[in-house]
Amino acid sequence: VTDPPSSQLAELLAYMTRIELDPDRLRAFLSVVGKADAVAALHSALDRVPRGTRRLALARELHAFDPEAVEGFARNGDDCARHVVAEHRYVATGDVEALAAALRDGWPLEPAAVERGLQDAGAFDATLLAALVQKLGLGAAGYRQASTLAKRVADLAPDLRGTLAFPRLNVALLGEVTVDYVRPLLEAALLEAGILATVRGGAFGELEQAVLDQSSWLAGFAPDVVVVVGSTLALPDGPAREEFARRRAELAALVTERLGSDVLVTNLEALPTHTGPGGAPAWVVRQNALLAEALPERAHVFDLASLVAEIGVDRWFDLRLWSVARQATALHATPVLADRLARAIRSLVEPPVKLIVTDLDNVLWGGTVAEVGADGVQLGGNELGEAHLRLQELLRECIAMGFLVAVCSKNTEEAARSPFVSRPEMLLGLDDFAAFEASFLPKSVQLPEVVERLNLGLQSVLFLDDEPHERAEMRDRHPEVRVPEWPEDGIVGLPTLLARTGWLTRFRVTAADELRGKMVRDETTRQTLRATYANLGDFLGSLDLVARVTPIGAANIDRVTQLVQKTNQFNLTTPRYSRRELEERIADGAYTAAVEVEDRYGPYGLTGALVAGRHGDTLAVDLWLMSCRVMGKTVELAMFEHLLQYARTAGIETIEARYRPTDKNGAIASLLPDLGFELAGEDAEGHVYRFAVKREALRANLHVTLVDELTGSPA
Amino acid sequence: VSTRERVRVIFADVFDAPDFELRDDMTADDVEGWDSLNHINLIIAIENEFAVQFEGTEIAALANVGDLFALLASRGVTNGGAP
Repeated sequence: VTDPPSSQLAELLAYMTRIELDPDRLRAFLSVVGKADAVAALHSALDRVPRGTRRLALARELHAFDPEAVEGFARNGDDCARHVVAEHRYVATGDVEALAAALRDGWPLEPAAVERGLQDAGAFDATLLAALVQKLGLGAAGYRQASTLAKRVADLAPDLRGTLAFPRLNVALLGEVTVDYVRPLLEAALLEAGILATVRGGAFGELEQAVLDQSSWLAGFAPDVVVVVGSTLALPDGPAREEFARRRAELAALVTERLGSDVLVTNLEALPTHTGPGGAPAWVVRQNALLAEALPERAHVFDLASLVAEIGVDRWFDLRLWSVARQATALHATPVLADRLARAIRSLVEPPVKLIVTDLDNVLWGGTVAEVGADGVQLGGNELGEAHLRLQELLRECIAMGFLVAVCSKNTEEAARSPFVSRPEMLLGLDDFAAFEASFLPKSVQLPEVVERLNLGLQSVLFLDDEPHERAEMRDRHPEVRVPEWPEDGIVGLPTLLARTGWLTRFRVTAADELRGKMVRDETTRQTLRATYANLGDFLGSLDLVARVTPIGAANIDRVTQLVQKTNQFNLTTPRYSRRELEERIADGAYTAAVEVEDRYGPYGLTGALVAGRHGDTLAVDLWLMSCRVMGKTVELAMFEHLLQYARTAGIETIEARYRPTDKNGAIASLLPDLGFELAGEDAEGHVYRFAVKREALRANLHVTLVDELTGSPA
Repeated sequence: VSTRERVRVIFADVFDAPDFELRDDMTADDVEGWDSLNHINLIIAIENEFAVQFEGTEIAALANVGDLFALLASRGVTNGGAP
């Protein structure tokens, strides 16, 4: 407590970072220890905390003490550190390139950078400004910070705001409570949600009057959306309580009729006195149920009750403010209220999600089915397995509500289907899906075909994938597709995150929707995917794929050994060399290649290896493997090209290779013939193929820039 | 930083006036924008700054800036400096 030794500080900090990381507490902690202790403790914590917002927070703190260290992490490929360096550079120097980089990488922007950005915004183009305002981070901000940001947003020059290609919206707040505190925050939160809104509010208590009075502010304002903001606090004891739902329904009908607006109506939240063992009084429960049924067409419930439950009653209310100003929430609850109202308003005006497209491996089940087999994938049994089942449950509920669900998976059709057939724990069955695509085509090529076949548009799609590359590719290629960021606690947090996005709430099921879902699922003759190779070529060409080939050596042999031990799908003969065996092959003078792949969405790391031994004028391929993460990107052609160049310079006449079929490597059965190899026979080790080096390889299909690390230039 | 300066910074922040000058006899009528809305904003920001809580009746009874310092003093926050 008084003078702990550094090692214990590091322990304490690491412990703090494991449970939660409140930035204020972290700063308080760091401010009472000396600089050396702070740096040591942060380094030690960074050693243990994986990629995520906690790591981001630690890197920000370390940057304040020791910027060089954070720059070092960034150089070593730590993208949290890279983000911190970029945002700090922008705050310190105003370098717009740094801001653009920090906005691109997906991490939240620190408030100081957001504030400076809003001040510098006059010099930004519309794309950068749009990216900036969508990173305000209001939902997680404190009240004071949120208010400051809202002020800066409101201060943006009108012609500057006008450059944003956002939909315009007028939003009116009718409050049975004060709406003055949430109003400016809501305007900013709507901007963050991609909507350029003007939000106006009436005096509190002014509901029906404002709608009925032809000369009121409301009539002239012509709102697109009217939000009726109430609170259980505003319902005094008496008969008015039992009239709540009916009165709101009548008000909503009046608004849609007179003003032609869509309407959101808050329901009744539990008060602090409603949260003992007895729960909420019967009238609250009853009125909420009635409200949901009584609202007319184009009027929707905003579920304030569940928001208060999520945040916690004790945090939500500050009853003093109710007494003094008829303000129904604590001020620190207003940013999250504004954030959720903005999402609800957005879901009223944006095209509804109709199709949920999901990945399979590590989404519907745990593990990679092509690696572990249908019997090996995880379903139930522990926290992770149960989370996969919980997601399946959520998708089943969505199907019952009228959503279509489809699969896009990078797998063989057979592997992708197997768990549905052989695992009784699966809650979803093959006939639940409107479409089932399993191939190694890029998902951004697969998806439009699926969507077209179902007669939908890409703007109706919600895309679920645990791979950051797949999400980045989809966002980049099809910005209209909604792609939720993966939660930090992974699949465990996904069902909750999906519920909070608001994307799965709006859909109102009609009889026609239900029927359509059923018709699509019953379609027995599924059209197989027309492999649009013209599209594919364009796609691969635009990825800026780079394959860096280096000999296997001390710098990479650990990673290569790991790949040799665990790669099953793209592995010609699946030899499980040990590290020592690999070292012996290197010492023997064999051709060895380790391949690192990178594209415009970032690095994939070391993902391929090839070893070939020389026997006279023949080069025999003993090992050729690639991680499934880079399959379908023509990296194998680049590897073959490199091998061929070596063969030519080394005076090799024939390249010999074997394919030994296993349960897992069926996807590459035709690799060697596709490359131009000819079948020469079969032996105990598999099918033997030969390639005459004088022949031309299939260079035309190569979409990868090959870089030979020996010469440092494109080979 | 003195208590007075910390309070002044909060006023400057709420009224968006970096050079805000604070006087003890200052009332809401003397400051543009000091309406009931910003009154609450000031009080909540001051509560958070000094980690204190006031009662609703106390908040409503404040007549001028001097009263505010008196109220802070009643919570052990004096003009001398940070508690």
